Amino acid sequence: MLWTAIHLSELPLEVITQQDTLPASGVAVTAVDSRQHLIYRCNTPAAECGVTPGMAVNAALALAPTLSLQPRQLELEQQAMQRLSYWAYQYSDMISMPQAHLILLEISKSEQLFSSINNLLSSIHDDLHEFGFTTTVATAPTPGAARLMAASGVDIFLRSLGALSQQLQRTSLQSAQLPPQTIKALNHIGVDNFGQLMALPRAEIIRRHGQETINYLDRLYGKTADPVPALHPPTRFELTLQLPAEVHTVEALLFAAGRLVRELCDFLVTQDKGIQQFRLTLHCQSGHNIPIQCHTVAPERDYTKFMDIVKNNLQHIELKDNVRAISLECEKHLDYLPETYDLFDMRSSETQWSSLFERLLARLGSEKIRFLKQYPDHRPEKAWQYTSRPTVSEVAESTREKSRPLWLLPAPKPLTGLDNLHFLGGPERLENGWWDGEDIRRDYYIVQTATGQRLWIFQHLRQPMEWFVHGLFG
Amino acid sequence: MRADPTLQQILADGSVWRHKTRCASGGEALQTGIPGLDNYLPSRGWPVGALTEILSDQYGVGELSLTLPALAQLSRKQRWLAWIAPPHLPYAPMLSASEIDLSHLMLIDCDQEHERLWAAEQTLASGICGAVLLWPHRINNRQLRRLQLAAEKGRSWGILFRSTRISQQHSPAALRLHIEQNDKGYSLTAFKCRGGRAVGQLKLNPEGG
Repeated sequence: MLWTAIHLSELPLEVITQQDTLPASGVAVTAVDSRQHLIYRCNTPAAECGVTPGMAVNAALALAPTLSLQPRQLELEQQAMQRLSYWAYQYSDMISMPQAHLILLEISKSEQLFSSINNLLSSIHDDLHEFGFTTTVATAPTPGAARLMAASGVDIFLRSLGALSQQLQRTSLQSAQLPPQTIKALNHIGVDNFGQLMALPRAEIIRRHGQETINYLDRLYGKTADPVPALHPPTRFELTLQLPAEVHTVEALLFAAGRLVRELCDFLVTQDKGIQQFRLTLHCQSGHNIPIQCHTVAPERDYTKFMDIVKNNLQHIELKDNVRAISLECEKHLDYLPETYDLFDMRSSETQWSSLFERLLARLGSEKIRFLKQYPDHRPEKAWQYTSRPTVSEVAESTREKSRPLWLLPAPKPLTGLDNLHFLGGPERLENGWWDGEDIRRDYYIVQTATGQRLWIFQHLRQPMEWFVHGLFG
Repeated sequence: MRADPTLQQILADGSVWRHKTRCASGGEALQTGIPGLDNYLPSRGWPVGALTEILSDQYGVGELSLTLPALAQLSRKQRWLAWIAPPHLPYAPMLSASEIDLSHLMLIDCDQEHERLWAAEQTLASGICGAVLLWPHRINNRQLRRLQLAAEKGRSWGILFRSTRISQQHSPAALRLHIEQNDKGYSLTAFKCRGGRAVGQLKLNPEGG
């Protein structure tokens, strides 16, 4: 097992600075902590003036009067972490987010896919660079150690448990997953790093700092297993991108839409699904949203195909307002069947049928697709049924059926007059259905109208003796 | 490198329309199963991988019965039949008696015309539907062309039942028939056939019913 932890230490600051154009001077993010406004993160110019995280806002303003203060935007941070989690599924099937702004991946199973761990890690680094956030990437044989290194800001690659314990000798206890009072107590007795902690007698650690501390150390050093709760890939893809500046032209929109579509495609690849429709929403300055529905003929996950559709749709949009954000969502994922097959074409007609049926269901809904079944009953309206699944074929009835029409009206329609009707066949008496109360006594005739239509009509044999049209011969 | 086709080859495969001569349509044809109809049609049957338009003044003049034997043939080969937006309820016992396999028959009915056309395109292009029957309310040339391409892709037989009112409009369908019913039976006029020209009208006697 090999775990990689990616820590985004400056995320609260970067989601804000990436989004708006802020002055080059100091920027600080504030957060409320027990009703006091404190500095949560600050950028380099601010830090140079002496502003530090944890400082009171007033103190910071005194040090740097031109400091730009931005409230912390938790939603943006969550969105960024969500994007990262969608992305991470390319590299591992075991993803976890054990603490804020940190993502953990198990990468040893993907080693063969990337032909070496180095390739995998450099690919990860390249992708993270594109995201544009400051990251610390640490790889270690245990998840706890990877977390520890990344949270401490140490970029490191530790392959074996031996290298790990050597590294841990020098690692400070500050970022350890231990209760603060334990760390404080250990610092008081002069234990600052793991090397010194491991030198203490085991029984004493248990007695003074509890079994939990020893359990943590065992998991950290790989002596016991460290199960990590996995993040389940979401079934619904939804992503919003805040545009850095107000966008007025379609070309700029295309660029932003392209990023969203790229992430959608990565997401679909990891889930091994395709989609037939998705919705792009343009969030305008005025609060008005423009939804754009995009459809494909078959389930797709190809970037170029989606972008073609998006381009076609965006060209017809008239932008009256500036667009400040663009979002993409899709819900119904379908199994993806690639168009070309290699050596063995295993696609039987069964799978072709289910693929077609699934596509129709996804777009139209199950009420619009029906199948017919024959039912043994002499009453015409009861001799058939709708079913929601195709049924096994039954043997056809007697040859008498040749005198039946191809089309039946949903309910018999009263016939106004018998003139202009040329009688071709009948009468055929149907008397049936006494057992369920819907008994019929009718004489059926085949007639032709002046316009050439052939109808199936009947006369009710009870009072009043009315005439009805029941079907058409197609 | 492929040799350039000779004049004979071009004339033989039917892509050139010749005024008086009836030549093979070049495409696959499905036997109609109706005596006299195969001979009457230049394509010697229903064109597969293309659209057929059957025009009539109203429904119920025999337009569907015309297609039944060929549909039954497809059913025997276990091919799917898709009926999209039929004007009335298809009567199952009669279909069954005409040897149509109900377990391979699908009825699709949507409220919106564009959804019906989408469903038609999907089923035509899928490759497992032998025939797709559509009763369009409004369809323009561009949409017809899309359906034609879908039928070519899926090698399926697309049948559109339309009103004679639109007979003057141009259509990319490979075969266009007009059917009329009178006292003596059906009267068919094929006024457009890909690859040839049908001569005169065909009179058919009704087969019972």
